[in-house]
Amino acid sequence: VSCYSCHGAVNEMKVVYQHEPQSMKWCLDCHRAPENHLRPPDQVFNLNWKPASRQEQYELGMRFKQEWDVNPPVTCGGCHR
Amino acid sequence: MKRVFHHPPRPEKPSLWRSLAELENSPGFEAVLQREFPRGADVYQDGGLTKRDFMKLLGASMSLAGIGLAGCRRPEAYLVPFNKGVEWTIPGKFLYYATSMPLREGSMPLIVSTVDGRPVKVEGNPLHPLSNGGTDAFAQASILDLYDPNRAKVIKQNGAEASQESFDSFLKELSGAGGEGLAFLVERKNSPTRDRLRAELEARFPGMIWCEYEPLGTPQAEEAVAASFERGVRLVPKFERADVVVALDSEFLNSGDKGVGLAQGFFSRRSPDQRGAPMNRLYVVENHYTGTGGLADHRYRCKASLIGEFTRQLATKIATLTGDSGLVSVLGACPKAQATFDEAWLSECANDLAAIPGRSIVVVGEQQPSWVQILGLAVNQALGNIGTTIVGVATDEKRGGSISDLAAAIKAGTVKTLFVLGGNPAYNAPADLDFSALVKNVPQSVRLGLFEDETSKLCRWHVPASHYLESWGDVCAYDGTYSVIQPMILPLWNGVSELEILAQLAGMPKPEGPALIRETFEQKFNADPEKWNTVVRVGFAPGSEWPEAYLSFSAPQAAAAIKDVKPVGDGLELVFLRSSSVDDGRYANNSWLQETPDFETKVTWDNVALISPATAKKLGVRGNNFGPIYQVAEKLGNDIDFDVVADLIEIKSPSGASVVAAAYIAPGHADDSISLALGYGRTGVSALFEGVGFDAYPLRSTEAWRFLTGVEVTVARGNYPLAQTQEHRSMEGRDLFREGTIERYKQDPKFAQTMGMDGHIPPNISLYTHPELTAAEQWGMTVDLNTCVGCNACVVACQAENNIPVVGKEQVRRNRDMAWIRIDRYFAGEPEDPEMLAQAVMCQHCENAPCETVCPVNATVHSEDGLNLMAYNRCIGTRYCSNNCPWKVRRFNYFDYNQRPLDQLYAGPLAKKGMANSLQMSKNPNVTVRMRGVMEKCTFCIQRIEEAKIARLVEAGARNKNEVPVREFKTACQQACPSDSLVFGNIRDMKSRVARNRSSDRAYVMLKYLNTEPRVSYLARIKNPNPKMPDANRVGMANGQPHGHGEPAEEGHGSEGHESPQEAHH
Repeated sequence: VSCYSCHGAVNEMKVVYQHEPQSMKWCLDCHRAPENHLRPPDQVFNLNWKPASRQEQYELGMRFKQEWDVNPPVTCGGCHR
Repeated sequence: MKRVFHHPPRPEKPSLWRSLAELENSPGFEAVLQREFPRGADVYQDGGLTKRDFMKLLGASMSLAGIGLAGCRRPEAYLVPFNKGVEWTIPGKFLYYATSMPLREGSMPLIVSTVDGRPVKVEGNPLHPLSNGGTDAFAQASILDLYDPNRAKVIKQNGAEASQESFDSFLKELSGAGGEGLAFLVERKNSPTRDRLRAELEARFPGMIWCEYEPLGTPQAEEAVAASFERGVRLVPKFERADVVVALDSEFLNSGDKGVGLAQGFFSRRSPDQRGAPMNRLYVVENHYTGTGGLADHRYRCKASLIGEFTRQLATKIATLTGDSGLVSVLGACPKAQATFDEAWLSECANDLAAIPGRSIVVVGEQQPSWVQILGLAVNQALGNIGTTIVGVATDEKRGGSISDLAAAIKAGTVKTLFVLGGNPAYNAPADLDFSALVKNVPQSVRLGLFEDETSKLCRWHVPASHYLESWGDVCAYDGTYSVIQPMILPLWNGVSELEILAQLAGMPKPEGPALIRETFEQKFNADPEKWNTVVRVGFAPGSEWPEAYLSFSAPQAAAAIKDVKPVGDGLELVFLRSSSVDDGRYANNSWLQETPDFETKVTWDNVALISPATAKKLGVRGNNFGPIYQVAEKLGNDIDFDVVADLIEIKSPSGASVVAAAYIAPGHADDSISLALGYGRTGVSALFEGVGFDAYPLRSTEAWRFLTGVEVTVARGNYPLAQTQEHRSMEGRDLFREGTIERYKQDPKFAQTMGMDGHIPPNISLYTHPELTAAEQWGMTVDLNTCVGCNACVVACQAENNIPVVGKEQVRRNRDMAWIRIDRYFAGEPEDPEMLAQAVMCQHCENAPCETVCPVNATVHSEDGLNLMAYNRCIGTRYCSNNCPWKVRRFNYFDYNQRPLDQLYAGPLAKKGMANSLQMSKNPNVTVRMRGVMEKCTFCIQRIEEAKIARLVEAGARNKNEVPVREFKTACQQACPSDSLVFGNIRDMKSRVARNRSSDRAYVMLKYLNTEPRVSYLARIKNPNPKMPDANRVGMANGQPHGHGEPAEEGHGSEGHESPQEAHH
């Protein structure tokens, strides 16, 4: 998951602002469906990388999810310690 | 078929009992047991402030421009990012450094976790030869001392703040002068750099006086070794080689003086399942219950003043059996006393020892008079233990004079300038020296101390000292391994170390960084800089222990040394104990330790005078005044909730000094003996600790070091409430702690699993559905009751790791202590001479957790890896979960203990809010700091579990994470445990230690019939009694005599359970 997914395009911000709601639901949305945010490992720090289409993102994401067994925790203890 | 299970009926006289009140089945105690949280626990009631008054105040403060209520529920905080990245630092990740904590007789090798440049947790250094990675409670709590906001912060001259320059010029002047009348009083520490600076000072100022003082020091032991062997040797016991250990007034399993690694060998020989060598046997003779005594196979109660006589009678028998002429000649010089002991006990113990020459150790308490220790060494010599189980090392230490020498010099007027570096002699010097008055007579006195304490007030100068985590230093471990003390943080309040002061006096420039230590290191080892880097990284110089010394026992020399010893007096004795909470008083300001219950009495925030039941009856001391007061209060409809209200007793020494202390009736205590821990009753450090406990030092003198005989005791006027963690949360007389003898274990290896009702329980079903445990890792823990001493290291480690707040004495009395892990202590047998059992209890992480089903807001739920989770944000504080917890391990934040001063908890929003800055620095950033109104409990250190899982993801990179195993890690309690009795891990991995332990025959779970499927298993304690001993039939019988299905005789069957056809479990 890239920095971009949570913090937005910080490289294009004049003044840094909160791009995403950062609420628990927002966290869980991604934890439940990580395929929407997974990208090739070499593009993690590339804030300008964009998938060609939603379809491509989905396909890429599903592939990585399966290959790496991406299975983010959704129990409370994953974050609340 | 009916599947109703009732708790086993409570026996008339419980075989397992936790306090005398329970044993007596007093009505007041019953009433307390009936309530989960004692009555009034939720009522605001302090100094007459009722809930109604509170609401009024609340209204008033709101009308006063809404003071501080905006942030009532959601605390506001600011995050300040680093402007520039700090070298090595990854936000949220710990950095680990090796260092050492100096101890009286050695060092505690440590690994310190630091985050953002501040140390937050200490662990043992497993690389060090004298460490198994464990620590003790004091080392764990020392981190709080570092951040204590009450530490001394400024240099003072005659009580007024002075500048650094004025003190520097004072030192410079001294350093330039001839050093006439210069004297130093230092703490006992084995620091090569300090020795080097001392030698330089001695060369510069001939005639300077250098004295050492430790109130719990062991000059007698050193004298004994010097008299029996030669000066400059130190004895190192090798417990792993001993089949039998006899401890005479010695708490060797729990001695923090030498580092925890020394007793490690004992535990490695304690398992009944080990191959090769037999399980060891432990005989303990002592006057009060110690952790060591609790673990003993045979324990004999004996007055501390008669330990010498006991040793003499034991030695006489051994001399007859071995015919050792050296022992006979030493015995001839020993003083005799009128005392008779159990003849059979002595003979059989002696037979057991004599039967295995060279495979036993006799340890004599190091505070005992030196003749007893010499006799102990002679016994070891006769048994062939010297050189086999006890080896010698040749130390290169240079010792100083004693505090008596210094007192004599001050009296003679030869001391013009006195440096008191560390320690607190004005409080803890032997009373016969009248040290406070002497210090006042010295024209110039300088005091270096962490706190502005009793001694600081008497000295002309007070200089704030730096903590061992703030300054460079070095220390030798008990076996001489050279260890470096590396600072983790710059001095918080401009403290200086004693090395810096000594260097300045020696005319050296102010040392920069480790320059002084490095110089010592290079001189000592002629080492290259590369090696220095290694030593700093691992914390010690490998292979630098002292060389082994040949020990040759000199009987004539030993006999000559004890020729003129006077026999001890008789009558009532007072024994001075090392406090398990404050040591000699140095940790009196440490609230973590103050709130850690004493392992035996479970009293917090106080020390108590321990008396045996028989002696108490003789003296007219009552165990608890709770009964009548409670009944009157009940009649008046008052909501007072008293725990123990103790009698006060006045202890008068033959010389007329007296001390008043609260009396506590201690089962298993020797008769005609009173034990009182040192270190309490400190004054003038901070308001919170004012008047905590009773000061025993006024009765202690150079002659009465361990005990004082011939004291008079009278019951004084008044009562004293004690804050105990003992009587509440009682689990009544069920087989929670299980033990048996090794014989029973061999005949019926699964006896622990079939004890009580456990053999009769049919397969149970649960009415609730539970989340599936789908994760590959399933976490669990085992507690080995065979090696748990009850030393409290895990309790304090948990406190440090999990940001557990301290609640204060008043709150502990209302049963609101917050410790996530507690050591339950039971007594079994007759109150005069029972067995003591210690059992660590933390959240059991039940698979069918009763707490989860009653939470109305799903704040406590299960994770797929088997953890019982607690989401603080969801918790609305109904406390139903705690109500439904069979183990009573949940803790509720009745107040915002972190944010409010403990003496103003009831002032509500009117109290000052906020935590001292320095204490904020001590918190573990990976664990939530809980606020008022939420429940909390042991999480199995979920932050460490998640950290390990994340580390695995990082390691796996672009691979499937399941190809990479989770690296081994430890929970905080497990890591701190010096006896390795806590084991945590993945129970699905059959190769892991925890899984092997769980499948052991000794493994059982508490309250099995409740069908909660706990993830914490206990390994039953197996005792190894000598069948010929007179008390052999009483050993290992805490659950009663085995009969039938391995069931205690007194206990009934779970009658309903019998309807099922489950008899065929044999």
